[in-house]
Amino acid sequence: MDSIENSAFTNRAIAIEELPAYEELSFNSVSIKQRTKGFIQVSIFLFICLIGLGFGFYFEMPEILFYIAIPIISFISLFSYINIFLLQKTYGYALREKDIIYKRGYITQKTTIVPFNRIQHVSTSRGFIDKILGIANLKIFTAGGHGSDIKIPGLMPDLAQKLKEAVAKKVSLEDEQ
Amino acid sequence: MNNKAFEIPQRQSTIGVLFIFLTTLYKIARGLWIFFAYILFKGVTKEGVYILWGLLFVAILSLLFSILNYRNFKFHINYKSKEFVLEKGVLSTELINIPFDKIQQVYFKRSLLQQIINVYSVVVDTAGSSKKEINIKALSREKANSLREILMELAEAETEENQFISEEKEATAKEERKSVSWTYKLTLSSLIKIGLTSNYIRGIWLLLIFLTTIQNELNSLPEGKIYVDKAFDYLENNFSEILQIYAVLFFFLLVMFVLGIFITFVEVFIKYYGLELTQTHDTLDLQMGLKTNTRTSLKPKRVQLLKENTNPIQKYLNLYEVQLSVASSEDTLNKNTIKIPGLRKEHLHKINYFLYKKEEENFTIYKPNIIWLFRNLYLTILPVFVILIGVNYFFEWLNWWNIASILMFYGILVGIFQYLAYNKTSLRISANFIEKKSGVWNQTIERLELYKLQSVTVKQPFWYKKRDLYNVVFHTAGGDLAYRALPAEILKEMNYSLYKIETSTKAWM
Repeated sequence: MDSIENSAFTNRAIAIEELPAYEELSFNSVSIKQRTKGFIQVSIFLFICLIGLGFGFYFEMPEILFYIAIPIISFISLFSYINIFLLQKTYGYALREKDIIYKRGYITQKTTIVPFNRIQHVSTSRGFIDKILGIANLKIFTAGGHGSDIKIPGLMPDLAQKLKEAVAKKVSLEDEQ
Repeated sequence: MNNKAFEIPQRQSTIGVLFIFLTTLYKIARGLWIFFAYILFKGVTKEGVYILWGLLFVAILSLLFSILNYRNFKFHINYKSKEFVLEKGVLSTELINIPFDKIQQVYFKRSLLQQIINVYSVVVDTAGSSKKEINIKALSREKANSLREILMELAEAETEENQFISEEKEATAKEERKSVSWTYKLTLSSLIKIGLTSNYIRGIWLLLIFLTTIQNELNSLPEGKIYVDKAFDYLENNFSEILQIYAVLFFFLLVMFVLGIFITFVEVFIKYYGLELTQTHDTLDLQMGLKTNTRTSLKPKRVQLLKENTNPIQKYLNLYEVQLSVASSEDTLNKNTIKIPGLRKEHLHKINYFLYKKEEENFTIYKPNIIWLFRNLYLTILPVFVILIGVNYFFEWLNWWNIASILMFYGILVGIFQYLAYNKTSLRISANFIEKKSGVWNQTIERLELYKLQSVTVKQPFWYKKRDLYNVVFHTAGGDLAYRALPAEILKEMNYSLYKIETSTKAWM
């Protein structure tokens, strides 16, 4: 088996130019509800902080603490809102015949590509806010550790399920070969 | 060989009782050391007698525990259901079955105590997410050896059966396996050389941690605190002149350095004493260690990432270190790194040849963009500048001319160092391999086989966009290999890597 594989690869210079390029793919975007989810999460954080501040005010916390806490909280919240707003456009995923590609990030754009024959298992997950908004996450695990796993957020539940089944099918197909 | 060995359930060797008893006692003693200390300091007072009776009671209990532990610990091989069976437990009983095909590795381990009693621990490594520890702690040498051999053979046969390997091939493989290809024993002089030329920073760190713990411990005792205070008073009273302070500081640093070398030396000695590397037909057997003598057996396909380390002095002495990252099982992924120091250049080639059957390959060499150098320069220079200038601004510690000269000196040194680092580093990709070279003093080469990759990640910070540069990460089950600021041609290599993974039919572990 080895020898066949190797002999197919003697002329590497040509092969490499003809290989399909992942960077020319068109990506599917994730649901806009993912952004809503992010906004809700930041709002909850802000709300809890405000309650904390209220308590602080009620129990007569030293004034200097307010001067420190309020700018920090506002900065974090504002930054998070902007971050979530900008992130939304950068989520993208694509399925190819033999691998799955996921990209995200605007400060640093990260693209991870996982071949089906290296996937350990696939699962979907839904948190509390996901359930309310009607979205789901698709998780793909490999043996390559944390950096090599993929979690695609903001998918419609039935789409996530379909993707999961499709990927699982491909994985088992690859395993049989 | 007796084909049905270990078929009947059996216990560990009889002396095992003693081993279990002593280890339990040791564990208990470690927990109760405060009582011993009490008796030692206060003498045998009235409370002391009670404590002694209590301790005796505990000792008798642990003897009973050890005997039960020994009696209930039974293992055998069930050839019919193709599994290794272990029964253990003092009060409750635990039954562990390991199918042959789940056995990944069988190896020996010996602590100092085990070496004295002359028994071996046989550890069975398994695959599967529910990782059950199998450690048969007291076997005689012959038994340990034959158990290991039989289990390995059974595991082998089972997996090979699954992989449809023809029988004649298996037969010849078995024959060849027995014939040892080469053995390398680390000599005492090499061991000493490694000890003296290793990285001392770790030793100095260990020393610092040790000193601070001692100081803390002393401080927490009322009597101890007096001594610490006395010592500081003594220093303050006798060495108050500026020159004397420098002298004390210098002396202190010198002692630290020498002790650091010494500790590194001792650590290397304990870890790698009696290192013996043997290559058989299909495994690499490694045995080493003074305190716990471990013996591991490695198969090429388990090795995910290889790292070669050396520094100019070691290079001159023909000493190289190989670090192998091994995926122990597909689900749990306990990353496991095995260090083999003190190898000569020829062994490096032999190991590489054994692992990869490596022939000469044509590598395409990728150098990072010059931005790589600038990034490292400002990461190493800027923080020091900011901190020094900041500290001086608030405390007016030195005059500004001195600060400027120190910073200049530092900047030039770091500049030269980073420039050399930039010149040394490169990413090399061939038809089947990826190699990363780096390091000015500690020179390393990381190597991985393309088909062992799990996935790849490409990153592009927005300030790379104009220059069209990329950071890449190659993920393997034994760790990542990352490289920064590469030109766009690297994307073709990423596509090629994916192609290699996706067309590979070889099992990656």
